[in-house]
Amino acid sequence: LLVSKTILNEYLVAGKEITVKYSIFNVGESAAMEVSLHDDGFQKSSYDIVSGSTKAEWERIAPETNVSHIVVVVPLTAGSYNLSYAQVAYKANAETNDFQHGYTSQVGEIYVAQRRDFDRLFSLHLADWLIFCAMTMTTLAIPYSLYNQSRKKYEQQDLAAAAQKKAKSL
Amino acid sequence: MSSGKGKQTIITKDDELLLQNFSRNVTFKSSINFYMNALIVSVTPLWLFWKIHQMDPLEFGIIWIIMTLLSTWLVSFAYRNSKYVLKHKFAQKREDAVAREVLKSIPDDKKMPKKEKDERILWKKNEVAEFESTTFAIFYNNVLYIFLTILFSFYVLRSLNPNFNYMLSVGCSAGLLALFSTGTH
Repeated sequence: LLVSKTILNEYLVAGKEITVKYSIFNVGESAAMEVSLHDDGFQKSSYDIVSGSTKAEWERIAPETNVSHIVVVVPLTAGSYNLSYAQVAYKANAETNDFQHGYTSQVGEIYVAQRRDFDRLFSLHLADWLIFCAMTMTTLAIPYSLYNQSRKKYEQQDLAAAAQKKAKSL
Repeated sequence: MSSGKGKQTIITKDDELLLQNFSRNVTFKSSINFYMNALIVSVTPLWLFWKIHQMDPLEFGIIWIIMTLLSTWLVSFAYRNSKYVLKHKFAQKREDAVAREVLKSIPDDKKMPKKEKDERILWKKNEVAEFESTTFAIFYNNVLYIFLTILFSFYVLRSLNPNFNYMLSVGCSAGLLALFSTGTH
């Protein structure tokens, strides 16, 4: 059996879900029996398990087939974490009683970013921009409307005087 | 007007008033007005830095206060300079309309010497130019300040740490505003 452990997320953020996928490939010629997967890498002090389980079992994995298992976890705090390998145990064929043990690939060190750093980069902040626009409007609209009132008054007077002058000359 | 006797130039009270009205110095009331408006416009971008750049007010409060005060001073400096340049332009522009308005307001049966009429026109012209130049200077500089702050903060300096982003965006915007206001046009 070849077993891989991968993280499907592009960005790892504290308080946001991380999807971990375990893929088991039976590259042998006989079926693997009583396959069990067990991952101790997600301590309760550091992670909440939202969906799935860190333990999985399959009665039989046929030759030249693969199976996968997904766990969704949420890291509680930001920082560096080491995601080590998960353990796999199975019987190589139906006749034997001996279990073989193996390990998945390692993800290695991961960095979980702070929520505010992620929000700073990716959140739309529509409401925040709208509030900012409303605040800005008051600093712009008030002086402009005062200026415009006075401008219109005197420009209208100039236009009226020009029209009167034109009428007189005609 | 002023009378020159030999080498001495005597400035009359009228000349003094005229110089005061068209000088770069602003009255106390005008100064307060400028500082209040500059403070409001300097505080406004803090919302963006708090909510979008995720700067914690408790952590960065001191920097915010220092930069806001600096920005307030620079923006009010820009207001003052812009107002001075604009006042002359508006005074020329509104001369005819103001003169007509003042002459219209004088009753026909009232005989007023020409000097008094001219003084009234000059006073009214000064008042209108003062009002329009002040409001337009505030509006124009506010637009420029907000535009520059957003440009620096979200485009030019977007990859910087939020603290340096804030200090440079606000500093450069207010600084450029003050610099542009020292131009003669």
